[in-house]
Amino acid sequence: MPERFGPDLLRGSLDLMVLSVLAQGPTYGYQLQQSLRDASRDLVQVSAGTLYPVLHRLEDDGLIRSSWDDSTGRRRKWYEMTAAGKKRLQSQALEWDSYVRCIQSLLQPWRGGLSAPNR
Amino acid sequence: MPEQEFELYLAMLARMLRLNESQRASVADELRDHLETRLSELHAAGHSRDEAIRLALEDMGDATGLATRLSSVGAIRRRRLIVRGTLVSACVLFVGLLTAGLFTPQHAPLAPVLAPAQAQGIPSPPPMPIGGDGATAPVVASVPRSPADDLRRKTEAKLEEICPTEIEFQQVPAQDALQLLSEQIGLALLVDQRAIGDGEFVPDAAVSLKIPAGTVTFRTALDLLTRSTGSNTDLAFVAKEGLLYLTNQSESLIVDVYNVRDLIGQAPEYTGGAMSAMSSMPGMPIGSLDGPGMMGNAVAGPPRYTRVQSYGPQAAGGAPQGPSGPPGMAPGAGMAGGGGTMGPGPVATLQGQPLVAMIVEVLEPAVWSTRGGPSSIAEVDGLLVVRTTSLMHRSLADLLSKMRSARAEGPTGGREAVEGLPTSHRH
Repeated sequence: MPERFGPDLLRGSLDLMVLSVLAQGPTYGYQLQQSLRDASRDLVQVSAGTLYPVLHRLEDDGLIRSSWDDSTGRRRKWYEMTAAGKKRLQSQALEWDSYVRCIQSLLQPWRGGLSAPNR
Repeated sequence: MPEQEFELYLAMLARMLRLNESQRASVADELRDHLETRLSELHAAGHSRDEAIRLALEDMGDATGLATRLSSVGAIRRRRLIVRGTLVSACVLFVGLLTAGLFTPQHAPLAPVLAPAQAQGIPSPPPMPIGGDGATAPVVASVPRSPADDLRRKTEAKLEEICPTEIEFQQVPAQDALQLLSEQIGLALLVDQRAIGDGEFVPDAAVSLKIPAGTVTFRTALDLLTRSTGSNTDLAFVAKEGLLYLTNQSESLIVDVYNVRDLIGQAPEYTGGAMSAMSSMPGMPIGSLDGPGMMGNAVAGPPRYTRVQSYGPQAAGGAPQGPSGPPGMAPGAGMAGGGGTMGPGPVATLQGQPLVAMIVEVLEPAVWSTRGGPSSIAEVDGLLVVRTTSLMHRSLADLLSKMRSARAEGPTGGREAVEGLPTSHRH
């Protein structure tokens, strides 16, 4: 088991991960980064330099929306999911499941002692 | 409390963002919040301030890449842009910016001129008349330069610095890459529209380039960048005061004067002719020459030579634009690029001819007037008067400096100067 998932693995699924965290409630960049780490037990470590462009792109695509909070004395940008984002998350999650099952069956011969997944 | 390091990073990032003003401010605010929150957390975990700042910035990553990713959001792109810099590069540049911010540059505008003197182990001469020790340095100004001239010299000096950061571009449009690089250097860049119109510089041409840190000067890095697009070699980066100008038009010619008496020996005769000729030229103060460099002369009160103000082509109004005659011949009108009236012809110093001939032969032969080029050179009374591009002036100053060093070393590791005998020189 690697210390953390490599960038190649993360690349295709970062959007999905970010959306899934946002589905749990509004958050801001730093907190989202922490949530990903915590939820994955440190396996998913996304750098700030990677995360913010993703957030901006998701907002640009209308899947999330942002608002500013000045109450703490420091300007903080909060994100929350939109209806379109929720739809996208659902469809992507289904697609991801199929994808995982597909990969698992391809890898079956190479998995040695690991048990076969249930279909 | 805003952390200075974060502000510098964010300022650098903002400059590279291809977004409007309010979008840039938003990005800066958001990232500042992240950096400061991270800093607090790292502090709480027991890290020192410096370490915490370093870690926080490390997580944010190199500004160049981040700026590109943030800029590309929402933009319609025909081509995939990848600009990568290393984290080390970002930190080094960062430290450089910090240092530059701490020490408001007041460096002597004479610094580049003094360098050759220092290279020969001679203590930098004070800005006073040359002579005394034989006038080996190509002069130090005692006449205050114009602010424009100062600015140009500062810009040129900046270009000669070694680039401390790694440069890496992958398929980046040439215009963007140039802009990023010039921002790293800290100079404003302007591309001559004529170069684009003529097709010699293609702003969208994809640039792929990788140069390790500390291996080239900024000037070379810029040149390599333009060359890597397949651009015409007529493109040149010209310092226009504080601005860097990329142009395909021939660079302005500047006149400068070099004291080369040490290299060519002393003229056997000296008359007042040269003096009056010189004094009639604009911007050329004449003074007295002290020390062994002074020639026996019949003029009451030895003349004092000081640095001749270099002036651009606009002062050379009356000078012939074409070839000014064979180099080394110094007739009355032979002061290349000179304006105004000339006095009685100065004595042609025959020893000067081989030097001039050598320079023409060795340094870019094609640019000199004898070969049909725009540059001209003449020697008068131990002074080399040269009208050429700033790049050529640098090459010439470098060559003269090397000649002096080589002479000083001698074939036996050092030879005594023998007074009265003409020094040998190489052809």
